[in-house]
Amino acid sequence: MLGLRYIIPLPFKISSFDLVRIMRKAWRRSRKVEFLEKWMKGVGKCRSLKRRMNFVERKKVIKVSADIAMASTRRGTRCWSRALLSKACKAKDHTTNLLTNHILGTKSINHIHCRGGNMFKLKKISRGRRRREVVVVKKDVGPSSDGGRMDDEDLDGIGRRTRLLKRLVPGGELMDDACLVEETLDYIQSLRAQVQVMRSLLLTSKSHLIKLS
Amino acid sequence: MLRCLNSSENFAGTCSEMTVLERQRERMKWQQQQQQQQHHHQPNQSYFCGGGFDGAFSSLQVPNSQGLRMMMMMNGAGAGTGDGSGLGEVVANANVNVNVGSLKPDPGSENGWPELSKFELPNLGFVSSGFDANSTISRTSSCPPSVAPATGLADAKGKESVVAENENTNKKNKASGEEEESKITTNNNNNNNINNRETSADSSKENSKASEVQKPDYIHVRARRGQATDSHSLAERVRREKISERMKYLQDLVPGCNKITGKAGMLDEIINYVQSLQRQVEFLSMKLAAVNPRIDFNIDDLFTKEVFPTCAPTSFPTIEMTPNPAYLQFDSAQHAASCCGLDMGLNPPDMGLRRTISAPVSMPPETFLDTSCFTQILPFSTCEADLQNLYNVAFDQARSTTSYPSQPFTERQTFCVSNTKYCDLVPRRSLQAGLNKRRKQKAREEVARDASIWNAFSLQETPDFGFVFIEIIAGIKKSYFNLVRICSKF
Repeated sequence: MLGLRYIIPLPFKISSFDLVRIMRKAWRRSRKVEFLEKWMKGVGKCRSLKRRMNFVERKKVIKVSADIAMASTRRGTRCWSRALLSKACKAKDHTTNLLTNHILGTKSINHIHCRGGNMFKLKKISRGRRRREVVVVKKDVGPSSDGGRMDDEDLDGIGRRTRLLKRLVPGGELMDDACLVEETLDYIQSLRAQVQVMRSLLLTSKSHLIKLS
Repeated sequence: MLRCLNSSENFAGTCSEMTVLERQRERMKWQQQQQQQQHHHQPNQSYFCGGGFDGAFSSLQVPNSQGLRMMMMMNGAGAGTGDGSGLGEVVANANVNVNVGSLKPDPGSENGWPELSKFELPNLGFVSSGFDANSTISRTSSCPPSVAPATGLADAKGKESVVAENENTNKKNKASGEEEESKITTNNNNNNNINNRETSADSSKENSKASEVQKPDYIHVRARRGQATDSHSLAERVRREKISERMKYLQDLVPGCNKITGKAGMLDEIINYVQSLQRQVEFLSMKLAAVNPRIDFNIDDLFTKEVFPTCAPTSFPTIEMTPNPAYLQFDSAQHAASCCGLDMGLNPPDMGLRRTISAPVSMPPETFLDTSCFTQILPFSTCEADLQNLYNVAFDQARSTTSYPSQPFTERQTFCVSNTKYCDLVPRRSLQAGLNKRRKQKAREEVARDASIWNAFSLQETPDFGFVFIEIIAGIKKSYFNLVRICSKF
């Protein structure tokens, strides 16, 4: 009986494990597919709009649409995605506006604008944090003038590096450290997905070109 | 007899408070007493076994353990030890203890023995001889029989002397035994006292330790210098813990970040990774723009082929289909096994099966969905090695640029050409990790590496990018070479 009990649950365990794995992968895949669809939507819009574009324009279209698509896959659950979208919405550039409108849809754009409250909140928070930061900087400056404590803290260079990271992650300037790390995690994941999809697309397009030629 | 039993019981009662040595002695004694009982019941056997003495004295010639036994016999724990020899190997093992006891009269063996000897003294001679006979019996089993005849000459003397000595020593032991007992008890008491003291000391120490242990907690919780213990700083600490936890996740996520300890290094790594990813996105978008003059992607193609490239061809269905029948077979095999009651016997092969099955089962999702990941990772691993090669060479050349300015250029080109497949923008620090030893070297390396990367960059996409781009990159390259030269002069 013991042997029975020992044997039987194992395959189920394995299968459940695999199921979880498959589910996870499927979820990732769905995100990738979603990203790809949105991206292609934006790119297709531009293609239909303008017949001839130079290299820089093309590159810009592809990049911006990819960014927006990537941000929109998160559906505003993440700070970085919101920051990216709001940046894209506010951009005075015609093509980016057009792309955002097309990819997100006017409804969602309006939603973002309506949720200006939300963005405003973010801004408010950011203001508060900025104030805090300022305070911190003051604190830092005080002792450094006294006994060079600034140098001691700067030996680690953690503050400098976090500032760098904040600059890299969209909307990172508004985040505190804990939030920043979390957002970075998510951002890295989505960037990876983006890169993978883009690579695969590049491969197909290359092979397509080879076929054509 | 009754006393013996009583004493044995007493010993059993006191056994719990004794050390291992004492316990051994007690056990010996108890067994001796039991054997004595046997002898009282069967005196005839021992009585007529005079020849047994030969064996008993044969132990004189046998070196270590039996010699010790004889010592014991001579010292006159005699009857008891004679019985002990009847125990054979048990006593032989405990001989050293008893010997020590004989030199410094053994409390363990003598505790009970005075009492025994009281009413055994009249027939002690017979008893002792009987004991010796017993010892011979036990010894003939252990010793080679060839020793016995050699010692047969010393029989008569041995008898007398042994008996006399036994009597004397037993009388002596009577007197000394009680004293020893008292000594032991006092010793025990002392020991107990000491133990108590120690335990009390230990407990006090433990208390102090506990207080010390508790103290560091408080110290840990308490802020470092200049910080307060209010809720704000506590919250701050919680936040830091949170951050460190998430940093661990990040460490798992970012490649090449596992080896690095320290927040600064990790942050560096993360920053580089994010930067590289962003650059990759930029670069890929550039590539895509270059590849497709009319932005015209076949998403259908991509869906069928590229997002899931392995699912379309033969590999996926075969892998996908195999697990299920395997599982079925496996289950049936299991049922059969369980029915036959051969669970345990079949377990190892089952495990083997499981492993073999689980491997393909785990494979499909990877092959199915993470192919793009593969395409990323595999190049990375190969690329890293290649790039490091490249980069060492570049570094060496950066040194040699002063003497041979023309050579490095071509070599670098060749290296870069070999790497053109994989050279996207690679996270830099991971390459640099092994090589940052001195600052000068660092500076040189950075320049050299950048040069190499730019080289690769330019050579990679010569067919795809426009001429303008190449020219720009060539200009950048030249400026980098100048930088390399400058740095190499440091």
